[in-house]
Amino acid sequence: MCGAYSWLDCRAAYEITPSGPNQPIAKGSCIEPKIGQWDKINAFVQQVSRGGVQRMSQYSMITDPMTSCGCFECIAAVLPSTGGIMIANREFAEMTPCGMKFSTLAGTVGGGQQTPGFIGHSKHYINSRKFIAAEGGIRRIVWMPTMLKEEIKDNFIKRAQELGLGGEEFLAKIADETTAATEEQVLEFITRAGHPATSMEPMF
Amino acid sequence: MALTGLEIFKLLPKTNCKKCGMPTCLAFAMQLAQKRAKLEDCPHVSQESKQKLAAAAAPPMRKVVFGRKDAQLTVGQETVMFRHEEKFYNPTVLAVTISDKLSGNDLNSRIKAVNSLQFERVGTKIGVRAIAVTNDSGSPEPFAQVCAQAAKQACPEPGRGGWSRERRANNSPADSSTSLGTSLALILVTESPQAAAAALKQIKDTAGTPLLAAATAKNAEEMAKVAKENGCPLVAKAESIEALADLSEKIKAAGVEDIVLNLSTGSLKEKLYNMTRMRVLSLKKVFRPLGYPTVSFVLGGSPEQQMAEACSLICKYSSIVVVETVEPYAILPMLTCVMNIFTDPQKPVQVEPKVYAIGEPGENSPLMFTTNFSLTYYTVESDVEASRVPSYILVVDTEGTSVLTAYSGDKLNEKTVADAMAKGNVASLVKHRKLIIPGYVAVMSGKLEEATNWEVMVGPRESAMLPKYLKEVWK
Ligand code: SF4
Repeated sequence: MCGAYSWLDCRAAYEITPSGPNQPIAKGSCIEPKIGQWDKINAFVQQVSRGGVQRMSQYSMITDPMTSCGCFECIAAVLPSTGGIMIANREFAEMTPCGMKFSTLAGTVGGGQQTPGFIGHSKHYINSRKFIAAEGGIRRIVWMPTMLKEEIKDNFIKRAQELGLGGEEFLAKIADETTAATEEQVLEFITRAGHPATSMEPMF
Repeated sequence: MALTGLEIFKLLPKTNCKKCGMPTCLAFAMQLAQKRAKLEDCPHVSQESKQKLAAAAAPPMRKVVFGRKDAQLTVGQETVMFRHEEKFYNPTVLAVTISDKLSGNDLNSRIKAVNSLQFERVGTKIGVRAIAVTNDSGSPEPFAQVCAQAAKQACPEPGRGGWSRERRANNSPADSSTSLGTSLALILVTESPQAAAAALKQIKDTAGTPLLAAATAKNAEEMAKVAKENGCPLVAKAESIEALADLSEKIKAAGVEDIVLNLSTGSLKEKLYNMTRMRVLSLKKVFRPLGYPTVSFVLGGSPEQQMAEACSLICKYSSIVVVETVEPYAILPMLTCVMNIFTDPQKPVQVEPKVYAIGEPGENSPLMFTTNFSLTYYTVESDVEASRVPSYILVVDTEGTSVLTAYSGDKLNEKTVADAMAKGNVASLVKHRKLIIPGYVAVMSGKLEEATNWEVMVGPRESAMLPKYLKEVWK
């Protein structure tokens, strides 16, 4: 999910070194369908983190979000006043509206830390139906750099249509570095554009 | 539990006013969560938030300071279960007992024996830091008297060499607060409030802040009163973790906040088990009634037994260990153990960058350089010693990294070597202009010759080959 590593890599690594860091985990039974928690996954996470991480959600970036090592292609971060999130990709080296550059953000979310409000993920994953499903998925995205928009465009439009947000139209409602550099400007932009995040429940 | 960045953010004004130096409140909150910023930097945070944040940020284990003004001892405030997670902060204080049944010459020689327990090891002074006067007589007068005399005479002698060859490492595990002062701290071991009060009166002006040991379920209130009046920290002594937690709460309610915990019963195995549980409860569960440093008493048994027991208790997790033996051969291993586990594992151990003379080198002796990572230096040093060729070793400051690491990190290059040569004034030490360099960095020969105008001789790759090299190639 971080983009540096795929499920197949994982499986191959496990087959090469069965006692290595990649292990199959039985999901067990689902205990939190909305945010995506399973009892056996939680037990596994607890054990291998030596109690450092107690629970892990598959579908939430607010409650017990997933952790990452630091290799992720993108970081999603909350933009509190907008009620949405911003996503910065690794190639975007400038300041982002949340007040942190990608490098600072990476220091915040990497290293196996659980940091509610932030997750590291791949570009491809943004278009997944499971992407922060608990918080409302891509409806929450209020800011992305133009280069990221461009890169994921095709599938993103399809996914937006699926959600009834209107394809290109929704993409245009999302601010980028040319239209908004600070949180305040993002808020202004999305309010004017009538972005759905403005009328959603607060994220936290 | 530590708050997450998002939880901290909720307590901030959320105005993005930028006065804290961060572009947004969120960025500031994330910095706070990582302890890279101070809350004071935000001028607008509300009083209520301040309190909430301070409570969450209070260290799970309290810091307790005692001892004389010129040699204060700090214990507690540890943050991790295992050294490799970060580091252990305040080295275990080793104390030796003096019974108040002693008097005259016996007392003098016992104090003298304790005073002499100072050593120098890899360039760092280590030693016993406190005297624990025990109220074996059971009455206040002799106790007060012996305390007074101990307070007056407890003056450690300068370290003795010879236990390990004197070596200079400048990464001392003991920070300045625990560096050797001029006098030892006092621990008053009595469960009689009268004896404690009598002793404290006698030593008021001489002993600084002694540690009072101990309050039990029986005498807690009276002891707390004595401790409070004299402003000294108090040991809480009980037989189980549960009883200890109750007792520390009671003492705290009586107005004494500087508490040290003592688990008084159990075999060594049980003690280790329970001390570990206490540490987990205080650090991981932030259970405040156990969030204090600890003291262990190792009384009785042969010096060897005391040594084994004390070392175990130092490792798991005693802030203070009190022993009976004054045998240097038993004390030194304990001190070494403290030094080992309290050295910061995040910093490589370094030797002072300078010129070291091995044997009695003269103006025609070989000159070679290596880096200031201790392991590297001592390996080279012992190999040069083994060659029996008197030589100079120039140690280049590479921030404690080995030759290849330093080279690849650009900390070992013709400039740093030339600087070190100038600083060490090697041109005046030897007449020749030949410099032997580690074989692994042969590639720097050219540039180094240009930078220094010295002839560069490429030494062996492995220092084990130095004796052969010095005898055959150098000559
Ligand atoms: S000074 Fe305080 S209110 Fe202003 S931006 Fe920083 S955290 Fe927010």
